[in-house]
Amino acid sequence: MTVPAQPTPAKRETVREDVREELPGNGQAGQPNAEAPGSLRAAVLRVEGVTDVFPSRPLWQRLPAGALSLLQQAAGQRGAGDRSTGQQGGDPDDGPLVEARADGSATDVTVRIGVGADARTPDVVRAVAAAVRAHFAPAQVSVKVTVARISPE
Amino acid sequence: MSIPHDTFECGHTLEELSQYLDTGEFPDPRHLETCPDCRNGLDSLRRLSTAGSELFSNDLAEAGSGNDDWMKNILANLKLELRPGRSIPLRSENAADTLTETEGSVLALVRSVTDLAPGAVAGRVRLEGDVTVPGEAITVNLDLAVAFGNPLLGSAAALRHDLGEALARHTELNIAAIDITITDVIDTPREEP
Repeated sequence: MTVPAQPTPAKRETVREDVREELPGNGQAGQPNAEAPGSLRAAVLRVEGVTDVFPSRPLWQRLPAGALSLLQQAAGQRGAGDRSTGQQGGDPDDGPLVEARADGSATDVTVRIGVGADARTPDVVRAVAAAVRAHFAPAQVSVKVTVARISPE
Repeated sequence: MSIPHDTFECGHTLEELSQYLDTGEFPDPRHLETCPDCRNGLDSLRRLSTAGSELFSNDLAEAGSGNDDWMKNILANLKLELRPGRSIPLRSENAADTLTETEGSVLALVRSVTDLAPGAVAGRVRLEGDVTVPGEAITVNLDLAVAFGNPLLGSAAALRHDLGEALARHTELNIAAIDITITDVIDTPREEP
């Protein structure tokens, strides 16, 4: 799945992935910001206080049919890619851990997390947003972080 | 355990979670790792089971059957709370960002803190007020089932303190009040002289 370099202004494409090099401004492997697939999830999990990164499924379940179709198409392509590496694909619970929507000028990144009981949740959430932003730099991203679970003590 | 059979947003039910705890069987085991609502539900059911064991060691079968009114109330409310609910905003350092926590995660937090109180089990938990507006005054309404013989006023004061600390740590809500109502006093079996 790739994001068009110069999409038509009215078209907003949805991609499901956890792969930074597919997003605007992160196109060339081997450049300083290029990292392996899955590294965004790892970056979020490295934030102190984060216990889980949940699939963003509840969000894309609410997407309009057209966007959902794109999403499913992307999932199919991703699933094919995953199969080539021996990983499972296609199960909604397999992902995406991050949902990114890009229109060529900006990228929205959605992350759902769980937080530990000993952490200060608002601080953790802000740290996650900063980690996502740093991960995609120099690309400009809008980050949506949702806490879906606070682990019991 | 007899449990209301309504479906969560993820498509699973409290009954399935209960059966999983009883038998280890679940239609989609991997889902339990990736669904925060189901995990919150499992936590609550585990605590409820533990509380039942502690409060009713001589009458566990009846308590665990879900036939008691207090147990039915707790399960019915749990079913309602195991949903994302409203989005509660958190301050962001970047205007382009949207940082939130789900109402369901906060209700589960209140329930987990409450269930730590000795001899008490959370019943209905509600956040009254518009939690989607930063700074809006919010009242926490909590119904409690407590075991007979517990000092109610002392327990409520301690619980209110613990809840205040937890909510201050994990939310940016403007908590105006924490109202605790004892809705059930559970008459536990007494030891024979």
